[in-house]
Amino acid sequence: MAAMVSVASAQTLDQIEKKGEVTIGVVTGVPPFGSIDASGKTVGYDVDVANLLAKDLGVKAKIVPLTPPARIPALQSGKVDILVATLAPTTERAKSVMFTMPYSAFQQVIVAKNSAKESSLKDMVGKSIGVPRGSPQDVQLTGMNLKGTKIVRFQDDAAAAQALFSGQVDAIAIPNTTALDILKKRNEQGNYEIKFAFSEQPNSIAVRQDAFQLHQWLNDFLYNIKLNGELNAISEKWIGTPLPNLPVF
Amino acid sequence: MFGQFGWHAITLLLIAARWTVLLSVLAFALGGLAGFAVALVRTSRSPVSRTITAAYIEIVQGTPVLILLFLAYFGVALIGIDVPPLLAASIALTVFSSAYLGEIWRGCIDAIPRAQWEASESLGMTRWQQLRHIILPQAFRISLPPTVGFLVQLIKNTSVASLISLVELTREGQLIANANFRPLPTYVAVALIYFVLCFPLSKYSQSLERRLHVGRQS
Amino acid sequence: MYHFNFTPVFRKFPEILSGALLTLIISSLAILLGFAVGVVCALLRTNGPKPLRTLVSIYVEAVRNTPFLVQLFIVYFALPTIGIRLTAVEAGILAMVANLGAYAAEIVRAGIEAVHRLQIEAGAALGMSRLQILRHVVLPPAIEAVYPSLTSQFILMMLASSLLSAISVNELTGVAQLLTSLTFRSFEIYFTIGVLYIVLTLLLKAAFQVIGFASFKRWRRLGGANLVFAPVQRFRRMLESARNA
Repeated sequence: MAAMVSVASAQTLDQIEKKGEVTIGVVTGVPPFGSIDASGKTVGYDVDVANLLAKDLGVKAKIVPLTPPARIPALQSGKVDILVATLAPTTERAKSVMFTMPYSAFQQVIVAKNSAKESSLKDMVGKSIGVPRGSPQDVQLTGMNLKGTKIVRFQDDAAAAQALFSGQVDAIAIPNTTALDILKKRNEQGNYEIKFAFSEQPNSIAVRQDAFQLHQWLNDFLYNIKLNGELNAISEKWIGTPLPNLPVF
Repeated sequence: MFGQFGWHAITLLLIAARWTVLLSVLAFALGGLAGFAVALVRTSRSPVSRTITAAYIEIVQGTPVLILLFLAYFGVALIGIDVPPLLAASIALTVFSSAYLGEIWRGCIDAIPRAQWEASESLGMTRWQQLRHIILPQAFRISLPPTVGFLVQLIKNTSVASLISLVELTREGQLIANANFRPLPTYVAVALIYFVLCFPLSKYSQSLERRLHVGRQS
Repeated sequence: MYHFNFTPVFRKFPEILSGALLTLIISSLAILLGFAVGVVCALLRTNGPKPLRTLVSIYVEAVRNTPFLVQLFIVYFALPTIGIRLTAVEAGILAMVANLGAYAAEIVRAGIEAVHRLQIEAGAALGMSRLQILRHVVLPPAIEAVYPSLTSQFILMMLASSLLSAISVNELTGVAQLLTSLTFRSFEIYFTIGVLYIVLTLLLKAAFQVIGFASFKRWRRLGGANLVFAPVQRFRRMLESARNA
């Protein structure tokens, strides 16, 4: 079993090229970053990035779907060589794996009627924003002390969305992924849309702690696809908003 | 007005309603067992026992169901377990039922005339024998109307579990209303399903009361 | 091992108290209006024309056999789709009044029906009009007889106001939920809020006792010996005698 694992894992660029394919773990159950479509295929933002990086490496991509708790163990055991799995680069995790600069982000967005003209938080004067009570966006918006903007708190995303749809609030603040999910589920065409994003929680690619060459290459890869607009295209495709300003380290 | 609200939505609601029924049955059964114990202790001869159970009943009856729910949810999480909403809701509603049923049944035991106790005592019965053969059978008869009435309350109170995301009838209604933007027919349908569950029980409770010729308990 | 820490709770006590105050204000308003609605409906049920009686029956059964939370959602989330948009507090109070009104209607109706026929006939013999009879002969003893049931229902309504947090009202439960996510001391906060609700319950019970003393001469005559359940015994005895008469 151990022999199989060591043969399967490949960390240096030479090893990967020799194998002809790179095993990349992606997450499932977190649409639109990673989910299973109707035909059982794993699709999403992360999958597109994974395929892109395999192409740039000049090898085939072997996509391995993983549930969130299984991600880091799969990398550490060699089951996968790279994780493009919506991992926030926390210091706790950085003790076990190496993170690249961020390649995506959960954004908090404002959703309102199509006819609404607001394009930033400053424009929300005199308006009410519904949020799930105690959520990160609630804490953030309340802490911002926006003058003239009323923060209205509900039980959860669904209740806040209800309030928006019945006109009880002018807008709601929810994660962009939830926004897409809710807007997609509504059968009525395009009455509401995402207006703008106002905060980010970035995600990074992860490799094993000794994969220095691969780590360096991946950072370079990300730098390039940010520059040439390919990553932005993926963001527009899956999230509907342009790539936010991702911090680098 | 009905727009995109149709049979599909109603089917989804009915499927979600099974959690409503499950939760009600669970809480009624477990709460009933606990409530029976509470009622017996509440009518015991020891003033200490009586005071403790009286305090328990006052405390639970003086707390909103939603707060009981949150306490169960966060309380269980304290011992480090990932709490599924169904578990938290079952615990909260069982405690809720135990206090209310305990109080109802206590009232029924108390309503049995003193003479019954005295007569059976003079026959040499122990307290347990008195309860088992004389008091409880009579108390049972008059307990039926308010007990069935409480079951109706319980079924309605399961709707509060929607606030910790248990996808029972009310929560399903919220999710559907978000998807089809027809909150009025959706929630009216939800209300109708609850009505169909509760109304027969309410009527049954009323007919039981009439047949027993008992005065209304407070 | 979880360490209980109540200091964050004490630091946030002003917010908690303002939430409790809002609960008290909303509940008091709803109790007053709900009681009025209940009395009117009870009178319509016992003395009104048949179509009105049926209408009230439908209203009462519909409210009493559906959950309060669903009624709340209908008022706040669904009514706007037919043009009736209320603020969260308005919607909450409306739903509470409608709910309490139905329960109060049933309770007061039972009290009215328990008033002995002879009393009403005596009033008529004295030349009182229908309205005067209702006002002086029927209602006062009716309400006094069902006072315990009525006040219990009022207190239940105050506890049910906790559900208003689900439509964004920052009453006691709403404040509690907010503080929980800020301080993460969930268990301590909900425990404190639970205690506060019990305090509010006792406060209301005391207030109702005082109101009872002020309104019912019989209570004053009985003096301190009158505890809440005495009227119940009298009510039951009244029922028995009415049945046997």
